[in-house]
Amino acid sequence: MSVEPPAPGAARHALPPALIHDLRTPLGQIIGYTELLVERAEEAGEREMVPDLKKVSAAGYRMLALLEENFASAVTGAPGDAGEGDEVGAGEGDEVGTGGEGGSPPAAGREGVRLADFIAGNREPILAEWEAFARTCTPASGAMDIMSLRDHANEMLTVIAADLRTHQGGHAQAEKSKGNAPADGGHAATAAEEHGADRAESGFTVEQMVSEYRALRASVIRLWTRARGELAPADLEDLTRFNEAIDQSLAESVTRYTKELDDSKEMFLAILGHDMRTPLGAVLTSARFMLDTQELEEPSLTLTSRIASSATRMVHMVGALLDFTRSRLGGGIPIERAAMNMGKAVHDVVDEMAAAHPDRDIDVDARGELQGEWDCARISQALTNLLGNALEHGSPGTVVTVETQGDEHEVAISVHNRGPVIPSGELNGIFNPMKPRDDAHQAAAGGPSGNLGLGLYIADRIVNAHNGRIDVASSEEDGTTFTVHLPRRG
Amino acid sequence: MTKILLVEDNEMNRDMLSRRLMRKGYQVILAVDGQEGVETAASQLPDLVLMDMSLPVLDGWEATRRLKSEPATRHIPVIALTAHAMSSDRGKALEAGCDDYDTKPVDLPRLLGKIEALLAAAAAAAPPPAEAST
Repeated sequence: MSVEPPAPGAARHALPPALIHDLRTPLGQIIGYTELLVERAEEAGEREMVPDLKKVSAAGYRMLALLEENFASAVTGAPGDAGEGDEVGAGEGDEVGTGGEGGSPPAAGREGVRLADFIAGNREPILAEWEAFARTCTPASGAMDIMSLRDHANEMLTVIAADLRTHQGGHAQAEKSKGNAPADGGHAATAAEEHGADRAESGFTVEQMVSEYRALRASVIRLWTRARGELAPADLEDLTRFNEAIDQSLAESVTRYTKELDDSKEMFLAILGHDMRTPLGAVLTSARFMLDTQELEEPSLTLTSRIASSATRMVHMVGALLDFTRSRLGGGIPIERAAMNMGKAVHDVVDEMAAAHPDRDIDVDARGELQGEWDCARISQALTNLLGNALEHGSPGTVVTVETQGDEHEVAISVHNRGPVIPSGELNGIFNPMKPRDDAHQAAAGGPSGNLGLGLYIADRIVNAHNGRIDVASSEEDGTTFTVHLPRRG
Repeated sequence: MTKILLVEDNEMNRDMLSRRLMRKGYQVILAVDGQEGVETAASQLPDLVLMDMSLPVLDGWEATRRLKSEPATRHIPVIALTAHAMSSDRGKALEAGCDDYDTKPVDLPRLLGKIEALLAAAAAAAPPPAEAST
């Protein structure tokens, strides 16, 4: 398989392009089959069908436009070609004195100028140097406001200077250098976090943002040591504290930066999912309507049922997309418990999947006490996803087994298939859809799989919402087993 | 009749695109993976190949490289088809030896334009077939 690994920075955001890729396949089929139908109808003089078909194809193109739009933002939004972050723009520049312009000239007492006063007094030259560096890494596309970013740097300097003046306990110091100091409503947190959020919005890569901090640090230290000449013990202490304050700001900025990017990705996925539902509904309704008339002849009948099946597949994908974004943005999949029998739920799911995969064998076995209170629709969805996964990855001709067993504490449902072993390194993150996918076409190779790689994630979230868990084991001898553990209500 | 080899693993895409091409008057032969694509091209010598890039067994890039390294098949124009609309994909396809590139979902008039342009260029460039294959 010769799929290139994603750029390092883009890896954690691999979901959108892969997902949009998956959505385009059934969409292309809908558009293609519809155009075939239009051509035939026009040739055959069946004019009355043409307007409806044109509506279907217009809906298809509308969805395609939505995907293209989102694909573009998914690609440009991912941090990719970061410049080398090691070169920091704190090289030359001689015109800085110990006394800043504007600030009060440093007192020339025996103690000398403390770093805090130095920063306060030399704000302008420090910021000028920092700004010169920031300009060198401004993304060409983003017409971003250097002045407002400069305001953040200025505010950060103020807070850092204030921080240097106050005494720090040993614990706070250690925590600060690890970026763990509590952001207890302090201004530093706000300035640094805002800075991170703005950088994400302006299209900076995380490397560029880190370089900025390095530049800020280097500017201050260079100017300070030059002004001080020989460093006294108090100066060293100031420098240490200064470094810690920068580390803390940096950690906050990075946290906000990544959160901002994730949020915007998930937000657009949510919007995409919603936007797709209407045109998709139009496609599916029209196709079903045409099939319901029972008046279609071959090949129109086949073409139309293929449109309907592609649209149905897309409905499932969009549903999965909405579940995914809901659970990420809204904090979990909502469940409604009611009395149900797990054995029956499993049977229903297996019957449905067996009908969809007539060429496969699915064995079912259920034992023990299976009555309990769970969300039947959601549990069925999770089981459908797990079973679909087993059918997709199980080798053709092998049996997929579903075993349900209840005891006094829990009901366990295991779904087992034979097939390629999941490498142990991948077992760990198997439920995480943000993991880079290199199998965008592997799924397609097995036929119209109709999932976005979100199935396992959603299954995991549903089981999690029931306070349960899913275990995975995979080996050459035993095959692959996903086991859902659902505790009884309580 | 102009013979086009369509190499595509997705059954629905294969069915849909081959129907559309046949309606436009082409003869369409099919292969479901890269390996089969290379073999079919060698045995059937189509006038043009439409090559999906994400293929099982042998992917489209490698299949194209093999077609272009075989004297018997290297003259056959190959159009890469991929769902990725990224410009790097275009470069990768051309690097592998593809003569042109189009994205899926297929815009049929656009694809037909590319097919006809390549067929015309191949017809103009190719001396009588007997000489071309040596």
